[in-house]
Amino acid sequence: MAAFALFYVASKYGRIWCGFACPQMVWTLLFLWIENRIEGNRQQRIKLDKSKLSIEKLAEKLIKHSIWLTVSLITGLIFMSYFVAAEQIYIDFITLNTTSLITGWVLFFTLCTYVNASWIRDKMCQHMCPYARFQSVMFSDATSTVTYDNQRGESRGPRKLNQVKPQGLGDCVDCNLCVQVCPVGIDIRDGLQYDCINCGLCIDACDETMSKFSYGKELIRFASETEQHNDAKAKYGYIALLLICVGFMASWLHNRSEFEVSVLKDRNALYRVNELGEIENSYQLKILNKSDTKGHFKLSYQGLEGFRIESEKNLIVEPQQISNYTVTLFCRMKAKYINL
Amino acid sequence: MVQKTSADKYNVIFQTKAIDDKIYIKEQKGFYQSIRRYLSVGLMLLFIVTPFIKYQGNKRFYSMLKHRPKSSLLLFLPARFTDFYLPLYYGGLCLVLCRQ
Repeated sequence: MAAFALFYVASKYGRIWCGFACPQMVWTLLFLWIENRIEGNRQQRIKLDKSKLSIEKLAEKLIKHSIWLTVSLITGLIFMSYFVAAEQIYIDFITLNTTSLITGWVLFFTLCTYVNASWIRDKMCQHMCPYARFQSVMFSDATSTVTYDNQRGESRGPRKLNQVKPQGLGDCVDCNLCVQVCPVGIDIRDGLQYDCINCGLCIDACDETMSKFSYGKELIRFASETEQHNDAKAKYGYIALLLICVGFMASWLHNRSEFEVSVLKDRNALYRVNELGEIENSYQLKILNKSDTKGHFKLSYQGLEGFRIESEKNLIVEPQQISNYTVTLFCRMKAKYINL
Repeated sequence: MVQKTSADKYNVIFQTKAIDDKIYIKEQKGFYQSIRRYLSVGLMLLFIVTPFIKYQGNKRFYSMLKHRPKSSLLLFLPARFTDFYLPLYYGGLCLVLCRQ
């Protein structure tokens, strides 16, 4: 379902997923917000990084990384709550009662979040993300991407505020803000680039500058090469597939069973004949209770003559737990075979 | 910011280092940034509450990792990251590491 939604969105609006909803972007945005609050704006951060090591610099870096690590740890815990009981994992982790397996996974996802959102950031989108690579095949002339209006903007050049536009210059005042706000550090004025994540920040920055100079907005804007609508076949094809997937997903959620049972044959002996002349087979019964309530199970059989089952009568499985039971199946042999 | 020179078209491979320099992003306000922020908050809240969502009295987005060995496919995540990290710094290591 997610894949078809992505395909549809990519064909219509390009890498809009990357710029607005990708977890990498969401966490990077949060980490950047924290960085801005602690170390200051862009100029202050550049200055701080270039300055020599001091107690102030060390303190700011220490606070920033501590907050980043805390956010990463919370993220790791939330992620693991999809795989172990959500209510319990937070309590267990704080009281140091989680198993080493769970602790290991939480710390692994903590590390992944920290490294991705604080260090790697845009490099993930540029060099590592497979989606960024293969989505280009979904682009067409009608796909909307962040575009610089070359005809209106060129020739670019600086000018004073409230000054009449110098002859021979376009609307671009070459303030470079579109480059400074870009999360991947590209210059959109160089044309469509594979690095561009369609976040629209350069549009915001340019619109702000255009307003200051009393020029029309949308020098940089979402536009397609042909400014036409998408191919209808592709559009409705993606929507149809998406709806089918939504239907399957809803059906799966509605019909999901509350328990799983697996039966494993005892590997010690194929069978054995007991003193009553019965053939005896042992099985291991595993019951997984996926519900939030205690499960009571009863074992029975039908349609078989001369069989009987021996097992615990009350099969009880705690919520979200698995229980093992030994079940023995007896079959009465026919009289003519008993003395063989 | 990457400074381009006329020689860049002949130095495409070496340009990677310049691209990989730290990017200092200027904080920007505006229409698209607001959408990103509100959407991010919404997505984060969804990420937090989804494991608690119940339908017909039971959780629906819950994988029960410790009872389901198949869910341990997550173990492949480190391999995936290694696959991307190594080429990032050392290029293709196919000749040395690939099973083929």
